[in-house]
Amino acid sequence: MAVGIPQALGYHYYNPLWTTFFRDLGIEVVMSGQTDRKKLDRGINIAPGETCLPLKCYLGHALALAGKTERILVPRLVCLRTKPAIRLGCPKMIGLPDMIRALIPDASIVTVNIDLRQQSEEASYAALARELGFPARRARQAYAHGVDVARARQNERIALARASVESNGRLKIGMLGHAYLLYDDFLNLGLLKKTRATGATVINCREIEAGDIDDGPGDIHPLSWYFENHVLSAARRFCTDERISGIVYLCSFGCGAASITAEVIESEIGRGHPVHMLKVVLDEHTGETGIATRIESFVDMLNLRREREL
Amino acid sequence: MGNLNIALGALLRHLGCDVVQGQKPNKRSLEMGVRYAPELVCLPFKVTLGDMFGALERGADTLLFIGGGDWSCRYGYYGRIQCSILRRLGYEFRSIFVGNKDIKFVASEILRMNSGSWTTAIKNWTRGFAVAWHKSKLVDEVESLARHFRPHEQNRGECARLSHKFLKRIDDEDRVLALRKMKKEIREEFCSIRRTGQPAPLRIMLVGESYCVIEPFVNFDIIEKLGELGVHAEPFLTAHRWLFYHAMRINEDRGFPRKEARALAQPVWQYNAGGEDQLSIAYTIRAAQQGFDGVIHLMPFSCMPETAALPVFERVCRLYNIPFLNISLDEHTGVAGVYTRIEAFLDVLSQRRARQDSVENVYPRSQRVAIQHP
Ligand code: SF4
Ligand code: SF4
Repeated sequence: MAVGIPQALGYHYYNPLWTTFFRDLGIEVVMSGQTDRKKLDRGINIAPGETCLPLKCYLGHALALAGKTERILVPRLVCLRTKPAIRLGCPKMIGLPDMIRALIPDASIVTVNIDLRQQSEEASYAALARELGFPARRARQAYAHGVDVARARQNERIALARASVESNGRLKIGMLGHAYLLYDDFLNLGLLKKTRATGATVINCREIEAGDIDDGPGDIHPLSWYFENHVLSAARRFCTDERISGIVYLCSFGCGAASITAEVIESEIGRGHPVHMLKVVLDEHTGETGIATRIESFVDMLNLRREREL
Repeated sequence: MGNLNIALGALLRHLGCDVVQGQKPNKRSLEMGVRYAPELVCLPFKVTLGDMFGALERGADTLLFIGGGDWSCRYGYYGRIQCSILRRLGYEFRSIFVGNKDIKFVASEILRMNSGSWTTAIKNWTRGFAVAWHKSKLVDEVESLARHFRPHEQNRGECARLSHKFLKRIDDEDRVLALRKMKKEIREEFCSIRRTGQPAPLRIMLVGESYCVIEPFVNFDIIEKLGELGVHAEPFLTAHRWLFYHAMRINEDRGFPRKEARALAQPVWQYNAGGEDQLSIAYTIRAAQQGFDGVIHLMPFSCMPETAALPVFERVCRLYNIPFLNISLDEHTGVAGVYTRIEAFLDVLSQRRARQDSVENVYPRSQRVAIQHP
């Protein structure tokens, strides 16, 4: 048996967990590969025009796998945290499997339903394994192993990022955004690379120990979206950390959550500390050169400011 | 939102507030909303923000925000962000958030307004609630009768005139008994409208995002306009049902209980993703089963749950073989463009109707229905 994993959306958050889980069960894993023009175009073709870029990209990845593998893993991220308060996925993540069934009728999909109000994550993965014909005990082992691998990978990244925050000299820029934009160099038009090319150090918000906004000093009201809360608390960390000179906030056109998050960052987090934030809104028409110029002038501005302060 | 102001106004007046009737959403409030709202936020946010400017300029000193709490779409943040935008612009007001979390605070506010006495507070609350309930129900009745008779009226505008008259009377009347009596009168007057002999009109189900379905200003008065074109448009949600069944969870819709609706939609749309998307899908399926001629889906541009559900609507309509039209609304949407699309849609529907009528002569209806709904 082979299961296909579209390398978009949730993949970038859960990454080594899924592959480890399936391989431990003895299932072959087929990856959809990096995002490229062809995938994105195919996704755009079948997606409703108003959806966000990452979703269109996801559809392209799913299309690339349809017909190639017996099953495609499409996660449904409903409730990702229950304590101290309920944290939800965005509506598009909640409806993702239903959407795929409607848009790609010939894809046969399996889903892992993560709704912590109903059952633990482990139980959800056990249910997934059961659907594929594996006993719960093996599923639990595979899940535990997957979680370990994912955590180890995350810790590595965090250590690297910490080292670069603590290193001296260069200008440091915090990158805010969803993992599926930050880790997808095609979707973000090479923004992270371009920023590095200007000589600045990039601190990815997925790679700092930001925690959840709930765990902080309580000055900012949380949002109900799990991933947005992460962005918020990372924004707060960036703002209060003097070593970081500016923030680039990467979001997608058509993302409903970002329109709220950006507003909260500017009005609530920005109140105490002036935020030097460049907001980049990506859509399928955004040009690479335009982005490069904006980044360069932003970095120039930050450099000037830093020189003046020194 | 729609004629919601009548019932809510009554409730609050009884609780001891001076209600500043915000004017209906209009061009100017939309402009203000668009100017000061975040650019990419959804249309209802902009319109309601605009309304608040209007209300504050007319002297309101307290703004009431409904909603908030754990929500998977933007609705949960309306109050919080609108509030901070208004404050930043220098408006001064007190804000009350009515949400599931702040019951205590709301209660203390009510107490304060009733000069600290619980007995008066409770008395006023019960009375206010009863009046609001009756008003809201009557308004719903008027709207529903108007929807029903408008496609048949001989003199165009007759239903509009009657609705206007009764809505005003409902707004002015504060006695429960009189309100109850008015119901009969309303029915009689609507029934005595002179009708054309037109046979069964086309029937269209309106689904989608609640605000767009309910608020005539943003949906370009679609219910009335369709009625004048001789088409019966039935919204899946009305202001009355929104307020009492959905916001307050009272006496859930008897016609189509929520539970049943969920069960109907679940195979294709497992969770309610944030708005009333699951309910909308359920109503779409039911419309097909009840022999409606078409479904129109109204949503604000970039609305999160509705764009997510859009492919599912399309799938359901293919499955049940019922025509579907999606209209997405934002501040740039022009009325002409929308109506050209609606007219083209209506053409399709009447052609289908004509074809089906000829089928009707060959196959008995029962068989045909079985073919239509796999
Ligand atoms: S959070 Fe935004 S970008 Fe992500 S899936 Fe939802 S709408 Fe799209
Ligand atoms: S349902 Fe749509 S329009 Fe309403 S608040 Fe949510 S995203 Fe905005």
